Amino acid sequence: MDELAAQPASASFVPPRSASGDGVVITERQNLTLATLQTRRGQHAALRARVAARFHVDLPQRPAVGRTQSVSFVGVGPETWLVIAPDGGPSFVRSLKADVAGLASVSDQSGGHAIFRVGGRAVGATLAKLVPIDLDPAAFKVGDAATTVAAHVGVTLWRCPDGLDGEQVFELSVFRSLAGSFLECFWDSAAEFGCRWDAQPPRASTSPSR
Amino acid sequence: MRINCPYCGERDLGEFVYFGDPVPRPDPSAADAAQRFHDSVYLRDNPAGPHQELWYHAYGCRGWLRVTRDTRTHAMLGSAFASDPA
Ligand SMILES: [Zn+2]
Repeated sequence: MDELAAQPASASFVPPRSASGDGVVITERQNLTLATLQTRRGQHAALRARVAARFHVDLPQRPAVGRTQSVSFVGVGPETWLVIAPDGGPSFVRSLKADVAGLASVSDQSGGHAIFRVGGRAVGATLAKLVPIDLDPAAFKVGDAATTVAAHVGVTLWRCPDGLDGEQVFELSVFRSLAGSFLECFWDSAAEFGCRWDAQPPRASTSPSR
Repeated sequence: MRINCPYCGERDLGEFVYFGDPVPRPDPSAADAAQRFHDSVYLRDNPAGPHQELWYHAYGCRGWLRVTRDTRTHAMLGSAFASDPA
């Protein structure tokens, strides 16, 4: 956690006009503790065992999310994960470093990324304008993740359990300094469906990572 | 053109950066190092057919890939991480 992480990345974003309605709902997830976790050479099996013992979750070996009540591990590359601990506080990264000492490198990213949650009936049609991958529900399942590009901005996204409205819900992580640019592109893509900024994340049917 | 990344799956060309043939770096301490680097950098084969080349998955997993591509058809004949044994 650092000073930046305590501020919303969207604080200076002024939502442009959009059609009425709420075909798409977006919010920023806040107060997250973030870190990257990368295996040291030859320590992969030992790291998996350590994380399984400490967090009771299998580190995903592909672009996917491994979740517990308190922490999520998003596969972003071979032997590399984005770790998300809502309300983990400043001690989380310290204790994670201690947990995996000698097996993996941990880097605090709490002020480095912004994470947005998006849902609503037109979220698929909106993201189809932005990312060059197939997010059809049949192709991209709940728990799947992908690191790709949206309007020249690198993004890591993953699919959460569907919302109470039965529609898909995604979370997208972007470098914090590019959050404003990403939000403008996202909002423009969603405008025709009606886009609403939600103060709270759209409630998912089960709480995936809070 | 789409490239199959061993980690990310099949992705659009725009996510990748082309590097060139996977030729070993010349020995910089050789007496004729300048000539060797010149040959390595500029004198490349340009085969019509299967070709091995390095691609960087810049907008994905940031891994270096060794890709075999048919230069006549852009058919992808295989890909692996460059760090894997050839
Ligand atoms: Zn990749």
